[in-house]
Amino acid sequence: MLRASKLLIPLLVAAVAVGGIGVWQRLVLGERYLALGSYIPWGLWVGLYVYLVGISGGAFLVAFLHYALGVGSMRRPGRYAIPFALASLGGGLALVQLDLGHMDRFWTLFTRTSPASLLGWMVWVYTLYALVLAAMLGAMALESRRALRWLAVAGFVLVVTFGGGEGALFGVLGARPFWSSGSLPIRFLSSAFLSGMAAVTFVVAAFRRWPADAEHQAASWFLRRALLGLLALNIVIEVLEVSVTLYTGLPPVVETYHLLMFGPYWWMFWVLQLAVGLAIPLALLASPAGARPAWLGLAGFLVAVGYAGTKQNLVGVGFLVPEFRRLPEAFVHPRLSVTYFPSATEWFVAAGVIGAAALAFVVAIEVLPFLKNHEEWGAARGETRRLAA
Amino acid sequence: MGSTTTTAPMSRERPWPRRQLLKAGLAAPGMAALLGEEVRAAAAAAPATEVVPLPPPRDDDNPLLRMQREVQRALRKPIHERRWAMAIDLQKCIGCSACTIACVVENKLPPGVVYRPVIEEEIGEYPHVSRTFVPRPCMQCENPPCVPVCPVRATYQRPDGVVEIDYEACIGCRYCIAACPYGARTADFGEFYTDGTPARQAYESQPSHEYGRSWSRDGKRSPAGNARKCHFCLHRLEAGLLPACVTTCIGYATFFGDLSDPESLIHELAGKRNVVRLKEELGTRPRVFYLT
Repeated sequence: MLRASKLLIPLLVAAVAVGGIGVWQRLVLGERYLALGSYIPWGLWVGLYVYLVGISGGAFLVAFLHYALGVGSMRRPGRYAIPFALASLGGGLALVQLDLGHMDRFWTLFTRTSPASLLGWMVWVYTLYALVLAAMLGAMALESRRALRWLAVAGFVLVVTFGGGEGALFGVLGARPFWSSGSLPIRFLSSAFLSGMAAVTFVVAAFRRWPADAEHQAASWFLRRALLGLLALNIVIEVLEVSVTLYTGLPPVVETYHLLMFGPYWWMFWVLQLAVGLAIPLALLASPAGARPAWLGLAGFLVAVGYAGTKQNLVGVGFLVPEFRRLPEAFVHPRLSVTYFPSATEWFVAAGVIGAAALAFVVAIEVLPFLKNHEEWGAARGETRRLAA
Repeated sequence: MGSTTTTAPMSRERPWPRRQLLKAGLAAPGMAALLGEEVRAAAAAAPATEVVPLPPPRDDDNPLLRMQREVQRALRKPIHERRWAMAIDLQKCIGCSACTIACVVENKLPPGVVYRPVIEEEIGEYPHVSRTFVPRPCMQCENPPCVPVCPVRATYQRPDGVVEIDYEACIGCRYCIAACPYGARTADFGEFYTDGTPARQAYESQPSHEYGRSWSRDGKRSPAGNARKCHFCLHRLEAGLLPACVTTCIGYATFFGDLSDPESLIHELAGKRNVVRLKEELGTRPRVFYLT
């Protein structure tokens, strides 16, 4: 077993145990112990759902580069990317499932889908994507390159659909000026690619089973440059969006940006989003240290964590400016407030679900032979085929 | 006051027009004080003034009675020919919140759920300050942004224009809450007023009759876990009654009726020059009008 796995598994099991308490509270006591309200109806779980589904799509990009586009250096990262994408997708969907007021009715999302609802369509796209990921795991076990190629193409189409679709879920809400923008799908997609690729970069550094050979050097070289390029693209997109919308001077938008930067969660923006998610990794990647696998992995980890804050900020801040200035004072109740900080139940569940997703990934790469010993596995399958031929 | 000038016996018919009576009443005590007993005696001896009797009072002197009659008239039409609408006179609203409370009581709303808050706005700066009160029910938009976003078609527009929630289909994703530009939807988190006390009180288990069904709350079953909103008291309308907020308004500031009836009071009010609708720029076309 890898040293990282030995270190992480007890921690992840502990996180799952803590999550169990939260899930028990949620299932037995209902939504009463959630800090959400009617004016801030989505919180930590929805923010994490958007984030986890996004990094799933971004991780898939790595697999797509290898299996569909034939980028050789992404062979090893691409292999880890598929179970990682499946685990993070599962985590995201589990969180949003727990967020439903009536979890028992989730199946009606399939039986009563509204063709007019983006969210309705997204459920089907997620389902297809999960099936593609599961099929890719099967194709990896069978070493079916042809199947992997076509599945990678199909999966990438789905990634672009739901990656942009997630942004559209928010962008179509004309009631929320902070979100209502045609650029949001592009912003979501580019940030998903960045955070997903960064997460795979970290995973490759932390769970490396292969020697630091020429292929590994090539993979590091590629990932470093790809991360730098995606970081630059994200900076350009965000700067354009912020500068243009701020210049319009629309009061709710300006006020929301002001709250984002100087409101109660200013540290989320300055520390998590800018310092952790952008400035430090940018410095690491641009400096010569970025060529070293450990530093590259750290940069990937920081980007991935920082983008969790970015998505959290985007979801949370969008509700902070009420529809009418005095609405929260019109009928006073904690559920009718524009302040929010996640409850213990929400933190427990979030820790548990992320822990369970990470544990599923670690167990998969430790247990599944085509992931654990994929160098030998591939050679053995190739030999078997040659013999059969 | 009136006894000094009225000679006709008490009846439902007013012997004097009200304005004339008022003028006479205000003037008489002063005159009497100035001219003394002689003048008063002479006035008492004078023949009774000829007055034109007022027409008998009509039911529609009271807008509530008129609106109720109009609701009942509308109910005789097929549902797709009705267009329920509401008008709120901001000059008349005094911000008493009686409508809010009536709504809470009528629909047995739990903590944190409100259908019709009254927003208070302060205008100007000291010493020239005024306040205005804006009751905010669901706007029952003709183009409701909350409807298309629902992933399971649990919220939809009825043929009479009222946006309804199917409590048994709603999965509680709260997307509709995020989509409403008026903040008119609230989430029921399954709470009770007596949570944390030794016993839950019976009044909290009383069923509400929203959408013509009986809904008893136990904290888990619908409507707990659902999005909720004003529905113009459909259960009352179907019985020929006005919404609770309309009947409770002490200043006759809230009006209701069938907008497709040109004889109705709501039709009359909707055509006034001082009508505004909230956030019209969003294209939602609310069916709640404000008279400013």
